[in-house]
Amino acid sequence: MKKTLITATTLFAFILLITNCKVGNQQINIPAQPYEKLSQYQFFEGNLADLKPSERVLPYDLNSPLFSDYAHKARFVWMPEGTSASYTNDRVLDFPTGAVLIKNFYYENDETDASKGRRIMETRLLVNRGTEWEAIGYIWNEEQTEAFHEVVGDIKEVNWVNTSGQAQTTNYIIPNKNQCKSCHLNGKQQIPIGPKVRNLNKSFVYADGEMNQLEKWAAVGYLKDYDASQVHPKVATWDQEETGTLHERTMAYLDINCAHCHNPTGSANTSGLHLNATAPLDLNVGVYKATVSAGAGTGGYTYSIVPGNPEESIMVYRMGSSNPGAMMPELGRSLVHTEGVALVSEWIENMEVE
Amino acid sequence: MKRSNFSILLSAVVLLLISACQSEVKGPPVLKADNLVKTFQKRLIEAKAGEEILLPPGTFEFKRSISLIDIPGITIKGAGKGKTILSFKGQVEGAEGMLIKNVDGITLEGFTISDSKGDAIKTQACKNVVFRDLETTWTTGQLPTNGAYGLYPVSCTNVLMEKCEASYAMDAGIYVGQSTNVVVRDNYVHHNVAGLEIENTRNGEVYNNIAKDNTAGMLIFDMPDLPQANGDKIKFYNNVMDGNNGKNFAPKGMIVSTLPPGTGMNLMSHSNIEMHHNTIKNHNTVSVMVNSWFITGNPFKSEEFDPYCTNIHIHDNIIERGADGNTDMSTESGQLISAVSKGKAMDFIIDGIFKPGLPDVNGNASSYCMRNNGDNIRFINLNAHKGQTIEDFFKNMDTNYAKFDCELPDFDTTEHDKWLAAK
Repeated sequence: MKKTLITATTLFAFILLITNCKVGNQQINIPAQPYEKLSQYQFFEGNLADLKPSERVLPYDLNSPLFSDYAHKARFVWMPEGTSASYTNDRVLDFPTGAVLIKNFYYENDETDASKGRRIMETRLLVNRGTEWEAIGYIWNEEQTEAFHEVVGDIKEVNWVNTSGQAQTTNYIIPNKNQCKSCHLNGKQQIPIGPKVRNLNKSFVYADGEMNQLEKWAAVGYLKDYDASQVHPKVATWDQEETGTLHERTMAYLDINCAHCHNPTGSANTSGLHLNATAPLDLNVGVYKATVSAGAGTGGYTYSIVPGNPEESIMVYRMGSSNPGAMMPELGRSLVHTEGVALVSEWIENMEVE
Repeated sequence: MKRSNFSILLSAVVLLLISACQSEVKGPPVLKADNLVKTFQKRLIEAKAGEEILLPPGTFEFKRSISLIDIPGITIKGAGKGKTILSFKGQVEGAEGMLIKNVDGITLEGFTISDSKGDAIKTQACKNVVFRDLETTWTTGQLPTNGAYGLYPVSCTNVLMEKCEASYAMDAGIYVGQSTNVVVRDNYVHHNVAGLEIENTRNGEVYNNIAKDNTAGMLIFDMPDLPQANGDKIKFYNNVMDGNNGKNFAPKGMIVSTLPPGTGMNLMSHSNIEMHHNTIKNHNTVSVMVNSWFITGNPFKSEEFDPYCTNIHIHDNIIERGADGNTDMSTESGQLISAVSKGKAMDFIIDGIFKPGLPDVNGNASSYCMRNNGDNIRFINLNAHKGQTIEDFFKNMDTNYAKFDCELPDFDTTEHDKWLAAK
C-alpha cells in the first residue's frame, strides 16, 4: 500500500515535472522540412492568434516598412540558443544559421476601433539555412485557430474599415514561394530585406518596457559587435515629418519599397534604376532617365522623374497604377498606396537639379 | 496442371514487367488538365533538378504569373504552340505571364502564352536557355495596353530561340536584352511594334527569321546605363523583312514609340554588325536606318556606354522599297523623314554621327561599309552632327552612298562558334 502510494506520488511528481518542463522551457526546433502547421514551431504561447511570443522570440519593428495593401505586420525574430547576429553597417545584419524571421500579416477589422478585432491572413517565415534563407508561407484559416503550410499562395478577399472610417475591400494576394524569392533575391542568394541597422534603430514598447531595439537585441544576446556609445545610422520614418527632411523620408520610402529589386545586384538591375537610400540624386535614381523596358509602365511619359513635374514622371504613374503590367512594385500590392504616391509626388514637385 | 499454372503466372509477371517498362519509356506523366493552374506552379516550385514537366493540350486560364527560380535543367513542354494555351486574360498579379529566373538549363517548348498583362515569357539571369516552338500573342489586336515583350530573354548566356511565333506585342515580339551567345533563327514575328529586337547583346547570330506587318521589322540597339553596357558582334543574315508598315501603337515614352511605320531594319548605337543576304521589301518609309544614340536626344550617364554605331558592314542584301508617297506622317521621326525624302520611300538613312577617330578603308570618317545592296540606291546621310533640326538637315544632308563602298574584315566569333558547335 505504502509502496503504491510512493509510486503514485513519484509518478505524479514526474508528470508535474514534465508538464512544468514543457510550460516553462519551450523547445523551439526548426526542422529541415517545414512543419505542416504554424503552431508546431511553438513561436507563440497560448491562443495562437494572440501572437504572444514564447521565450526568446522577440518582437521588432522597422522605421519605414514596405507597403502591403494596408496590411499590418507583426514581426518577430528568433535565434538558436547561444547564437547572435553580427552588427553590419549598410546591409542586412549577419544572422546566425538557424535564425528565423517571423512576419504575420493582418488587417484590423476597423482601424478606428481596435475592439473589433483583427484578421490574420498569413505568416511568412524566413529561415537562415546557412547557405541561404528559405521562405516558408503559412495561410491562416477562417477560424483564426491555425495557419497551414502552402507553397503556391492564395488570393483572399478581405474587408476592413480604414482610418478615415471608410469601408475597404481588396483581393489580398498571398505570394507563392517563388515570388518570395523574387523579392528576396540579391545576386544569386535569397536574403532578408528589412532588418538592417538603419531600419531597426528605433524605440519599441516591449512587454517589460520601452527600449531601443538595437540595445534590446544586444541585451538579450541577439546582437554582437554593437557599440552602444556610437551613433548608429537611422532612416527616416516616411510618414513622420519630424524624423527627416522630405528627401530623407522619400529615400527611406523608396529604399524599403523599391530597393530590394532596384539596386545594382537586385532583380531590377537590368533597368539601370537604383533606389537605395544612399543613392545620389541623379540619372540612376530616375532623374531624366529614359526607360529601357518599362512597357505599359511608361504611361505615355518619357522620364522616370521630371523634376518639378510629378504628373509627367513615370515613377509616380507606376506607383499610382494597379494594372499588373504597369504597376510598381510588381508584387505585393493590388491597391495604390495613396499616401506613398503623395510623398513621392511632393518630393518630385520640390526637386531641384542643375 | 501445376506447370501450366506456373506458366500463366510467369507470363503474367513478364507482361507486368513489360508494361512497367513501357510506362518507363513513355517518360514523365503529363500534368492533368484538372486544376492545372495550381498544380503547374506547385510542380515548378517543388521540381527536382533535370526534370521534364509536360503540359496537356487545352486552354488554361491563369490569374497569377507562373514562375520557376533557381532549379536547374528543367524542361517545360506542351503539346505544341496553339495546342497548349496558357491564357492570362484574367490576370490580376505578376508583371509577366511566365518568369524564369536564375536558372542554369531551361527548355521551353510547344505552348502558347496569350494576353499576359506584362511580358509574355521572361527569362532573366539564366544560362543555357532554349525557346522552341513557342507562341506569344495578344488576342485583342494592336493595343497600347498589350504587354511589352513576347519572348524576352534578358541578362542570359547561351540562348537558342527557334521556330517561335510572336505577335501583337506593343514593344517587341522577340526581345533579346543584355545577353551573350545568342542564336535566333526560323522565327516569325508579326503585328508587333518592333518585330525582333536585339539589345545590348554580345555574340549573336540572327538568321532565317521573318518579320511582317510590324511597325518596324528588326532592330539591333544599344541602350545606355545598363549592367551590360554595350552589345557587340552580331551576324545578321538570310532574314526577311516584308511590309512592316503597321501603325505604331506603343505608348509614348518607349524608345520604339518613336519608330516610324514603314521601317525595315534599324541599327542604333551598336557595334560590329555584319548584315548580309537579307531581303528587305515593301517598306513605305525607309528600308534600313543606321543611327547613333544621339539621334534620340536622350541623355546618358555611363562612361562605358558607346553611343556610336561602329564597324557596320551591310552587303549583298536585296532591297525592294515600297511605293512612293506613303511615308509615315504619324510620328515625329516619320515627319522628319518624309520632309527630307520628299515623300519617297528611302533605302538607307543614316544620321552620320560617327565615332571620332575611326576612318574607314577609304579614309572616310566612318566605320560603315555598304556594298551590293542593289542599284539606284536611295540614300540620305543627315550629317546630324552639324545639327538636328529640320532646317539643319536640309542644309547639311547629302546623298553620297558611294562613299561607303568598302568591305570590312570578318570579326572574331571563336567564342560564339565554339558554343554553337556544341548545340
